[in-house]
Amino acid sequence: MSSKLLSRVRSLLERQERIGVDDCQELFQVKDLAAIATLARIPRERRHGRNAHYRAIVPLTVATVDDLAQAGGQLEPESGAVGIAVRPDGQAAATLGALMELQSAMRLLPLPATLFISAGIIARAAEATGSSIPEAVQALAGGGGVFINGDEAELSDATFRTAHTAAAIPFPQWLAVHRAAHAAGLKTGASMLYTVHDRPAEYAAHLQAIRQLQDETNGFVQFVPMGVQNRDVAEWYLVAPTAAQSLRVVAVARMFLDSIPHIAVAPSLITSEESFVALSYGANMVDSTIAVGDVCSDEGLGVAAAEGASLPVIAASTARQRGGILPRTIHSRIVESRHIPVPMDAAFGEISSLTILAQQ
Amino acid sequence: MPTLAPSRKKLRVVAADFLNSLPLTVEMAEDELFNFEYVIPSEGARRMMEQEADIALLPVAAVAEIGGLEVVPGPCIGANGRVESVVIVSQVPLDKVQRLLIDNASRTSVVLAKIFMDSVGKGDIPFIRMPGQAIPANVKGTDAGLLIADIAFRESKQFKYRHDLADAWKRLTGEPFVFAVWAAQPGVLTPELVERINRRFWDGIARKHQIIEEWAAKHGMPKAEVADYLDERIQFNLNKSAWYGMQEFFRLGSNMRLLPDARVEFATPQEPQNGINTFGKFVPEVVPYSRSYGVDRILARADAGRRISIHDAERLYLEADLTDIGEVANNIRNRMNPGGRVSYIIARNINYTNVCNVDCGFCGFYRSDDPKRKGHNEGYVLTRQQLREKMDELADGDGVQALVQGGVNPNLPLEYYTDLLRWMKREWPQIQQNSFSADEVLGLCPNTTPQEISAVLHALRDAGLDTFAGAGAEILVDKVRKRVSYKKSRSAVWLEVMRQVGIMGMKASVTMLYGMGETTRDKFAHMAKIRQLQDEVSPFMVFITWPYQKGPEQKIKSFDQAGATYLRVQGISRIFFDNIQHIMCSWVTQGPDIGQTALYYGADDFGSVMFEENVVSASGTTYKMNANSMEHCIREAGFIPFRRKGDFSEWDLVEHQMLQNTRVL
Repeated sequence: MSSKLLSRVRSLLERQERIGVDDCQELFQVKDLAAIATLARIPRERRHGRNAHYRAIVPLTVATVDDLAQAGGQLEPESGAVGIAVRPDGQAAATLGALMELQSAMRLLPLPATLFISAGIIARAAEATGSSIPEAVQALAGGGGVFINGDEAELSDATFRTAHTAAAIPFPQWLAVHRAAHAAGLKTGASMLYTVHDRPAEYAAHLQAIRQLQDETNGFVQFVPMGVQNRDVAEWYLVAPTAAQSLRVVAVARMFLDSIPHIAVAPSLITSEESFVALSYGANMVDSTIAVGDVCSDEGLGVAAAEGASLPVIAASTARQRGGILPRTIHSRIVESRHIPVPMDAAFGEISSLTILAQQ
Repeated sequence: MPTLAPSRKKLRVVAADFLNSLPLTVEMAEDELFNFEYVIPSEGARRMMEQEADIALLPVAAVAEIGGLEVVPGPCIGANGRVESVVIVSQVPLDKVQRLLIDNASRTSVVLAKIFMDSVGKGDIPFIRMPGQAIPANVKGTDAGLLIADIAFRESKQFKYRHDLADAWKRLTGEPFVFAVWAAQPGVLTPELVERINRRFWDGIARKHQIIEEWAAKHGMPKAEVADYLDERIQFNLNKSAWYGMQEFFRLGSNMRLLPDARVEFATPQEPQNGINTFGKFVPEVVPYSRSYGVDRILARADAGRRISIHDAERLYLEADLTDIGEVANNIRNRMNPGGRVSYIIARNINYTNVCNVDCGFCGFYRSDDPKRKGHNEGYVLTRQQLREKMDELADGDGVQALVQGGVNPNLPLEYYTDLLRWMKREWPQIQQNSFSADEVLGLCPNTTPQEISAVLHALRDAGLDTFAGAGAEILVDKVRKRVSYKKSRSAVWLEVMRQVGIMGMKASVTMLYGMGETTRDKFAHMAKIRQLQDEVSPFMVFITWPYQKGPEQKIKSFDQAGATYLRVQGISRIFFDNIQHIMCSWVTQGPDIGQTALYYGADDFGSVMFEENVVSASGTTYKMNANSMEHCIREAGFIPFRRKGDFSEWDLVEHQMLQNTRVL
């Protein structure tokens, strides 16, 4: 089955034709990662050659406008950074007014700042303010400097969402926010949650939903697979996907999402080292703006609790590299992985490498 | 006079001062353009390999092994028929010969001997290494011996059967055999320089009578015999026929997996007309290496089972796509270790002492034995009780191997180690000892002679050492070793320890610690030295590499730290080491994710679960895995996990318990 599938997919990719949902589902089950990587390189290299992109910005999470002012005052010039991704949390993300106030305050920061928010934040803020989603999106778009990332896309499957990501907005609402953003001329990001237990059918259905919206609006500029993270337990391997699973998801996403320009990986999720390896498995972008807290989940913990008692636990923990990664480090690691670094600003506009290197 | 060389210092030229090389070298040695030095052939090859020489009169096997060199057209050392200086001798006919005694000093001659023995249906007999001077006395019964140079002249006539290998080559291929050529680092040769080397050669030929007289007088040989050798036996022209002979040697050597798949680039003094240059010499029509031989071709040839050269490995490291390397490494891994299985072992490191007098700049673990040095009071030697607790914990976890390793502690005599091993074997007979580094052994050998090293290793084995851990290889290039660990053994001494391990039939692991500022060439020169030693005496079961982990205390700056670089280096190592069966991934330094990904880059072994580790963790790297997480990672990557013993055979519970029961109470 596998060789026929791989041959069929290769033929489709070489002819620049789309692969279907059924093939996508089957690809998620192929264990031969080398073969998957070879296929993913076809669309990756056609679109980007050896280029590897990153946004030369640093994330800054704030709970209030006052936090922003305080953080801005203390902000050290980050080596290589050309901008700041302001991620509102708590009170700063509670209402549309708070978000717009944050937008205004961002202008005082020492570097150009962009408001990084999820569809969920917009939907909840709109509801709290009594606005419709299109109205909220329009208002934020009018304030300038906003990027709607892919957070809270999770998995489109309703059963999964109910069981594991109940706090996230419903998937139709997630789609509605992005549709409205695209209509307002904003470029946005998409994502997919994947787990230690492979869910080929759910993954394929989720990617299909994203591809359909992209066909309709052409507003997604980036797709980021997000693995469930919970590594601070002894039996981490029962709750967090392994590198092989992560690389497989990246590769299949590149093959299936033919109309989304950038397939990104987050160093905070799959370790900084693995993220540069992923550049050879279909990813063309390393996105350091994603925080690990975005995708922490207790999915699978029940399994660990059930089986953990009988496991001889020799290891106490598995440390993961979750520290921040600076643009200049991303730049040099891309070079070391034999790709050509292409720095971008928050709006995915390419900037000269000299801008980054001059700051070192 | 036109500019002859780049405007830097004098070109570094090396050659052996053998009789047959003197016509090529005598004038070169007096040329002010060159910083010329006579060295033994293996030293010449080392200097070219480590880029410490610009031009060398190089044995052709070394030309193939290094790869990417430019060969000077015109002169060579060859033979178009009988040469009398490379001879296989025996007291019985070849069809009765059971073993061939060889001196590995001349790799070209050994490869030629293997080709010859294969051509007469004796390709599968064992080749036994020993010093060249000892070979004639040991050629008895059904043993044959390969005699080279002076020993061949002096001793071959006493044997009933003699096979001149140059003559045999001529009969086999119809072409002359080329022993050595002038080879240069890429970019060194200019047309003017090629002309100059040729002029020096002809000037040397003009001094042949002087060479003959001086050699005969110095070595007490009849002048006629010396003259006959130079005039009749040696061919000095790399003519068309010799060129084809050399190509055929490369082809057969590669087919038999004795040599890398060599491609030789010629430096041409000028555009040849009808294949003839201004000296009237043949200039082969060759497409420059860099144009004809892309990384895709290197990978394809490696995938087909061909050995790659150092230069090929460098090009893969610098140019090849990561997943292309992975694909070929994976194919080779599947050929060498079929069945899609990945092994792991339950073992533990026991760092019995952290006291060390070697002062490696990259080590955060050791404490100096010098009372004046910082941290001296933190030095320890584990007590028997502490060791017992660690061994009991290992035994309770069904452990099968202890890696007893520490600093080079000058206060511990050989008896400490032998007593320790005997005690461990007696108390925990089911646990194998895979212990000690070359420098720990050398710490017990004040004179570092092969005999002394061998005696210490035998004592350790007799006391219970099963396999030799063999750590501390770092980078086997002395300019690197001097910089990062100036007191540590030099590469030749480290290799001698491993040579003795191989000679006594023990098995070892071998490592590479990169990322300390070494060059790309240094990495693969390291691998080449290991591969060559493995060809000689096969001491190595497994190769493991990892990047240097810089901690707060280490002085050496770190480089090449990316996980992608780790996968690249490990993948190339699988391609390079066609003679080492296993590649172990280093999840301890890279973490479980890169460790798992490394299974797609040639690794067939996941290493050990970690009870305790003190050396890498001294640099702040603290990954840990248990057997379940290892098996999960292996399965999730599409492989079948199995638990192994120290010798890489499958662990068996019943056998383990039987051994446990043999404990002497």
